[in-house]
Amino acid sequence: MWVIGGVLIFLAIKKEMEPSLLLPIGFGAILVNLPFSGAIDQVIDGVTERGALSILFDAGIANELFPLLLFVGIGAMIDFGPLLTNPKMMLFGAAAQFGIFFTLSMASLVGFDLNDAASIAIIGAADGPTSIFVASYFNSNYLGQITMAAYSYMALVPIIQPAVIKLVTTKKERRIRMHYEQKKISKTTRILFPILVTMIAGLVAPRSVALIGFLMFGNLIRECGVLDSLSETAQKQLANLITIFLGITIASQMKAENFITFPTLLILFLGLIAFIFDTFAGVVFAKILNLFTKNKVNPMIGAAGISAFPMSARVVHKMGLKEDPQNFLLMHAAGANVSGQIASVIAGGLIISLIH
Amino acid sequence: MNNFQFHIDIEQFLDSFQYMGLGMLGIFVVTVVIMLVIKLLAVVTNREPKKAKSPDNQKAE
Repeated sequence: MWVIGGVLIFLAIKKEMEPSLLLPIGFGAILVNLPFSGAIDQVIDGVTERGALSILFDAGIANELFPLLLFVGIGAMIDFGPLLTNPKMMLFGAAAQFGIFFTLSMASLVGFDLNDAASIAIIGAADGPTSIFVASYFNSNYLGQITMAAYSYMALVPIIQPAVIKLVTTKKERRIRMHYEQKKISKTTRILFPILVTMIAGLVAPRSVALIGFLMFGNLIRECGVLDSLSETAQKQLANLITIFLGITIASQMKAENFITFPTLLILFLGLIAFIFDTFAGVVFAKILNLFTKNKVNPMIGAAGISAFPMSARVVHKMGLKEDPQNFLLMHAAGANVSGQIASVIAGGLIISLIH
Repeated sequence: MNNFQFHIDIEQFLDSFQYMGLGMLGIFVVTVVIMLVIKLLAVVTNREPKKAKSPDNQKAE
């Protein structure tokens, strides 16, 4: 586990792969795997000595609090403008969650119980807080593996997605041009959007209210225009503070005897499957849509429907430029990408509601 | 703790399809409703701002 911790730290620093999470997770993995580590609870002579990471885990992970607080910060960072300009992009966000449910089936097939299968499947949400929230909700034994997989694959989006996109699209399809029309979005719309989305999602999946509510609360702080200092605090200080504690606390679940196991390998494999099928489903959905619409959609936009924001949008935009230097897909991809954020949270809430 | 045993569980696999169906349906239903709400918001709030003719504006013109 020391080696695994070191690898994660290396990837975070040298390769800049999600450093804000992988570095604390990597260091935490080293901390908790030192013999009789005082960082986690230890039973010595029949007496339980509490460790800081175990206390933090109970305080913020076991009760799903930390990911929810992080969502306030994330919501404050998101600009839903590209989505509000072109609401059709929401469909790609929805389609790109297919990988979650496909992975649920695959995990069920190989013998994971339903709660663990759901926790593993939510890696496909491509959203760290949602993965932690759902896995904690189901008391999954694999929280450490799931979190590590979720953040690692999010960092690997620039490698995973182009490969899948090229596999299921033709050059001609990748060169489809999309015109972007800038529309002014009223402030009233920007304010009402987070409120209404919370209500709609909450009525359909009540258990998603915490997830979607905290995300939209952060967005409302941003968009209301009268809470600039709170918005800035949410985006920076709050998000950074929670990220520091989240990463190192998650590592408290990465004890060697539970981590270096065959299920861990399976989880890493299934997580990759989730990302692959998210991308596949988004692209294929766009291709199906093109059969019925006059204004063709570049199918790569479908791949941007995963929640890995803004990485996925940038990947799709770069691929579009590579095929045709005059084809600017960024705003369309950004619209799909932010819609994926909403859809992944809804998916998390639905999975909890359906399987609970 | 960790009582996972690798085995092929066809029954649970087939059971999972109901979650797949309901889950994707749920996501799309919510998505379509949100899309309609966005369009409705655009219609309701889309008013051209009427520039009030203040003396300063008249001078500029």
